[in-house]
Amino acid sequence: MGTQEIKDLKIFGIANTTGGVFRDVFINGTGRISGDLESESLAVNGNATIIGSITTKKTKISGNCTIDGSFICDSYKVLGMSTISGDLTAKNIHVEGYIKITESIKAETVNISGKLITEGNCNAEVFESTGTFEIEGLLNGDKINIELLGKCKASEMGGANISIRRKNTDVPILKQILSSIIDSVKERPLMQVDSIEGDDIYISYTQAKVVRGKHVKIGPDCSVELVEYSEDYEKAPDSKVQSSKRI
Amino acid sequence: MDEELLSKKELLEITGISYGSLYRWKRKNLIPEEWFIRKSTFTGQETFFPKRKMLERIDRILNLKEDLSLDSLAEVFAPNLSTLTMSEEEILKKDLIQKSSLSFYEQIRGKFKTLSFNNLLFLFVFDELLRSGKVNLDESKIALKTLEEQYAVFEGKNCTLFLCRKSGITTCFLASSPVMIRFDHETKVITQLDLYERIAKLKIKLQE
Repeated sequence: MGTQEIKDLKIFGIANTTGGVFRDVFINGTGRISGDLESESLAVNGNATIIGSITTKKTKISGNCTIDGSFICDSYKVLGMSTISGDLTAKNIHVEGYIKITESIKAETVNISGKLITEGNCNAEVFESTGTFEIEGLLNGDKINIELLGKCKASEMGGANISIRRKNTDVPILKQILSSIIDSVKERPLMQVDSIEGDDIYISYTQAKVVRGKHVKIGPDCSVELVEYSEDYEKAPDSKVQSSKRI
Repeated sequence: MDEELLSKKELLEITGISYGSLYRWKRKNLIPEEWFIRKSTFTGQETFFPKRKMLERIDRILNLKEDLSLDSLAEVFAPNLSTLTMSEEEILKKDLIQKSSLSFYEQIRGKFKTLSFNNLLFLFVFDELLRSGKVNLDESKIALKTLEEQYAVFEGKNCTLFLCRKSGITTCFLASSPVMIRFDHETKVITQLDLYERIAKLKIKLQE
């Protein structure tokens, strides 16, 4: 038993198979795997449906991958589209495509330049987004750095450093004029959140009910119902804050 | 749970910890999810905590933080998983369980070479019940058996052990917590033990 060699699982074309323990798993055509999967790596370039939980190290999804189960890995990279009906636990999550998760995310770093949707919470030491996201639960991160592109949503946000800015558009003037025309059609950058709690907070283009923190800075284009701060507080003139108090 | 609650604001004020630390500890599961109790107040949604448990936990985290990393702290408070096994000598050496309880246990279960973490936990609870003086040997045996048979269902989740007596008959059950239970007036709850707390206690003892 112990000497049995662990083999790769490669699917080209169309195949139905069962889970198990493998070294590298490649799905290049259309594959359906029923059962739990354990492997060194998982790469999906075609279309994959996996009914079961997955434990792997390196994951790269360039095609379309639907998983009915929880997912544990070291690095998780989505360039295509990925749906997980379960939890996602990873060291590094990189979303350049689209990812949807029905439960919670737990990671050391989350980096979004595409779109992320989760029906649960999102826990990360470092959360960086230059794309868009919708988090139905709590976004909990030590360092939350958001550069808004379109509309982003979270019900709560908490952590040490929280910064919400508009994405830096470092483009020449002509392009800027052009992009301003495009922008007027496109969605405006907006962060929608019920409550933000943190030590150092800088927000802009944000709609929030409550912002609580030690150092609170409200940048342009914000609408906040209540700000509570313990050390200092600043507000840009064009932002609306209904009430603020020092606690 | 009719416990005194503490709002998040009060908690930060009393303990002097920052939002950053609170959220960090939450992320590392040092504070269980079910202690975050949401309530609507006139200022909108606010979070409350069970006061006694929360202050105790924060105190313990702050004390242990100097010696242990956050991750090993998480191990201490984590409600599940431990691959550890222990022999009889180790148990006695670490003074986890008093000798008399251990010999009772061996009378019931026979001699053992090593115990898994869960079995150790059951023995730990068994020992605590016997030591408490409120429960007799037969009742402790019922509790032990219930844990051995039913605890697996709750693995990784928090649960509470109840021992009740009615007209001289004892019954034991496990309930996932937080739970609210009411009994008829003749039933007396002899003891109720939070397993999560016991796991944390046992893990701290093991780290010593």
